[in-house]
Amino acid sequence: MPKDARVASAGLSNKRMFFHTGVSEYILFEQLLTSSAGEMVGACVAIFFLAVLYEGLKVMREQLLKSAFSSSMKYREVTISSQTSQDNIIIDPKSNGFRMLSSSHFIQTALHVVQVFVSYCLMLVFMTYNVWLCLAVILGAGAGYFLFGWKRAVVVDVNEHCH
Amino acid sequence: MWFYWTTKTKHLLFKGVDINGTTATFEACVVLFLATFILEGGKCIMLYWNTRLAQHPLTYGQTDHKHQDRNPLFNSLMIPSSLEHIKRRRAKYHIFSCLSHIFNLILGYLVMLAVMRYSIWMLVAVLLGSMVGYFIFGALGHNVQLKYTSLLMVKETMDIGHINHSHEYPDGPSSENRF
Repeated sequence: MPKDARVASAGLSNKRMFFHTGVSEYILFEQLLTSSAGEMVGACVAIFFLAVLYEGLKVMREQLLKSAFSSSMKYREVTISSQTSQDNIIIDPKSNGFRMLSSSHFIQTALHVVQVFVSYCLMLVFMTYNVWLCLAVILGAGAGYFLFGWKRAVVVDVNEHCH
Repeated sequence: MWFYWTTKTKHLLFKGVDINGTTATFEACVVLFLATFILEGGKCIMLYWNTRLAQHPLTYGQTDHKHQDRNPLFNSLMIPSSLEHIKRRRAKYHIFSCLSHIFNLILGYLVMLAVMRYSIWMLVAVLLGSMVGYFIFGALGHNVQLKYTSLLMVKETMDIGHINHSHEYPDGPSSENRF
């Protein structure tokens, strides 16, 4: 097959677009070809841990966000109007807001890029339609949620690229 | 099947959209960058509507200044005038939240399908777009959450001597998210 044609149809030529059990798959890169059962097991373990770490990354980002918010909310000034009339006492929260140029936002942005990249990689691994790899992704996500999910206050995260 | 440094892609998302050569690849990457940037903006908008849905209805008077939101008899208390107005406002929030959800879904799936072509250039464009988009819209979303989840009802503030911060302030905005 000429190289141009092969390159032009990249991404379209997964021959078996249905769930299959096999031991030879390309994992994301041309150099990562699993050709034996042992290599497939190794790939599944690696994908499992990647999915666990992905869940942990999401929880860690949420924790960082909470600590960034609570540190800006701790010392809030309360101003009460001098008449102290019963109506119109509104405590105006004078918070800094979330600064775009703060170091915590830079860290959050970097972690966001990592999260997007890992989520796309997991999606592409699932797209190999290999049953073992798909199971590794699913079980890894489940184990990650089990390990890290009890810390969460939110169940649905708006940063997931597909719900 | 695996990541390519491609400059040739046939049928990118739609039949007949062929990418041939470096300029065409660059243009496709710019389009993907903008699409991911808009997607991050869409996430911020969805966050805004969901935060408004999570806002306590009795605080609508503080954030919305149409006359229906304040009962004229208790104007200084800034609570909405009737249950009907609360229902109408929440229905509007639900509709806009649903519309923004649909928009995000469509755009998100289109970007995902483009990334699925296994082209490294396009993946890099998506990552850059998501970085710049989150940098701008993520901060905006956090400020929106801060603003609408730290509203207080006036009656809680009348206890002048006993302003208890741990009781009134929520434990960080993420605990107020109910999507």
